[in-house]
Amino acid sequence: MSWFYLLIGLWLAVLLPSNAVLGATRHIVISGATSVLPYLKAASVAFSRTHPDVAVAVTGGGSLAGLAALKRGRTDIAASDLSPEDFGFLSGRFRRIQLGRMPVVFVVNPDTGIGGITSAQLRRILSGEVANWAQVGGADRRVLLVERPRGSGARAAVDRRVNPPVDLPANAVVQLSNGAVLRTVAESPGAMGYIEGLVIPRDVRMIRVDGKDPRSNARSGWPYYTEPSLYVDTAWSRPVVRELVQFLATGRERMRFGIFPPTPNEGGGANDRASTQFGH
Amino acid sequence: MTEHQRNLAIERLQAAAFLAAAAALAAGLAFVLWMLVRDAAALVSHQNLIAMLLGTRWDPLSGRYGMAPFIWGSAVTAAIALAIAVPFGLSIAVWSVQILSTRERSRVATLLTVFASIPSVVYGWWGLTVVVPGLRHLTGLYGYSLLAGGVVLAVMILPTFALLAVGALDAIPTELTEASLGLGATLDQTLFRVTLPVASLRLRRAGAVALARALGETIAVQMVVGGAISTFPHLELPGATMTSQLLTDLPLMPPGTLGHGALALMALLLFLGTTLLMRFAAMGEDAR
Repeated sequence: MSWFYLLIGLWLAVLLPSNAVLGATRHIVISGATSVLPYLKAASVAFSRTHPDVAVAVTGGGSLAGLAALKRGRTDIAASDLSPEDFGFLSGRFRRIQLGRMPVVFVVNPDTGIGGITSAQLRRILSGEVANWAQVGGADRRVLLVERPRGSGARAAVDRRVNPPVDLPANAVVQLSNGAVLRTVAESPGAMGYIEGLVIPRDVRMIRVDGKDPRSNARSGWPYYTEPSLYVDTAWSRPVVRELVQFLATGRERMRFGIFPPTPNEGGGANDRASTQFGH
Repeated sequence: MTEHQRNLAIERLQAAAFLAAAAALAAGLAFVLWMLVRDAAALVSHQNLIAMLLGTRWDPLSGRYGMAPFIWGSAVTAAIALAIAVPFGLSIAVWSVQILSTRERSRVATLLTVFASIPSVVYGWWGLTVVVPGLRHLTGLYGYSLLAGGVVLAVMILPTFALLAVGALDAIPTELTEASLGLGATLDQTLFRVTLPVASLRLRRAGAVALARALGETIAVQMVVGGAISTFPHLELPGATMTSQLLTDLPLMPPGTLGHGALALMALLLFLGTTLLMRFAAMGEDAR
């Protein structure tokens, strides 16, 4: 019989919401890009501290999944580092609020002997024309490309500038996250990949493209970057959602997560405009 | 109310609870199946089904959904896994049932259960740190390959197959083996001419369950298989399976998009494949 009570107890523990959710009278759902998920989670907790009646749920799933959920009314806020228009999410009701810019950094396994390449060389490497690092001045190592999937913002940012063939070359593997890319590059001789953000572990080497250093403060010089943004549906977004968006889009914590606030030239003013439109 | 009436009432309540639980499970499965069929049908109404199944070009953003590379990848990795896991698993089962004492057999079964319950991401991690570098060293290529996927799957399904095979051999009446030995057959002759043939139906079912697990495994395969989409790649080169591509492209084709139908179709293929496998495994039992 004790098993029976244990089972009932477990059911109740699963089914009954926690105190935090029970105390909340307003619920907000954010879903979308995994690249900004850590920041959104941390910032949402901070927002809930000042708004104890608001419970914020943050889920990943990818940029397009977030936009699709927003279109179907299943999320309040979509986070995306892909442009909705490029993927058929044409909706005049979506309002975009840019979070900032994230640099896309190329990294290699140190045994490649590479410290920098040109854009032309990068294009040849990504299209599979360069099979050995010796062809671009590196060590005699076979090239292994560590790519991101088509739904990744970093991949879109690189493809937009490099415009490689649709099909990946035979020497490419696909990894689903920044962490998986870094681990694969670190463990595979001759590997090269790219990630969003500037947190580079010691066992991989960041390389410059056309001599530009992504760690430079001159962000206009970043050759590759994503622009993660939040999207809301203006037809039905509630005031508390707009308040949260404003909070997320102006949080100083962004820098700690590799999201650098936009300058007025990059659309920084857009946040101010958004706040005006949102009535703050 | 008498005690008998109270017991009857409790039994009726229990029967209703069990029926509700079974109905909820059936309804849940039917709902998932209905969603897959609905999404797949939306795509099939726009595209030729056979062309998709036999097509070799996967470019979902351009509306091209050739799935042959993934069907090939799934078939190859599952075949490699089965080819490695079955002989090893059968050896463990024979060793366990025919040589070990009951106490030792119990310890082996516990160990196999522990290995069978390890999360698949741990097997994937092991594949990344052991299998991929090992294959890289052996082949001189990248290590990420269909072969790596097959080896990781083999290690994953080995405990499952071995446990079921132990059960299959254990279920054979001792009179049969004793009669064989009593007639002068050696242990080897008894094993190959009595034990294994008698257990063949259960062993086939064990193989089918292991194969179904291999076909359905996702994350461990995705971590080592490479994920490159090329037409019928060589075993030593990066490739993709149906499950690994489902995982990779789900963010690109979320529910509500036409391309999501292609992912639903792949899920239905996997469902159909495992259902057929189970039917095949149960065929002999029906005849009995």
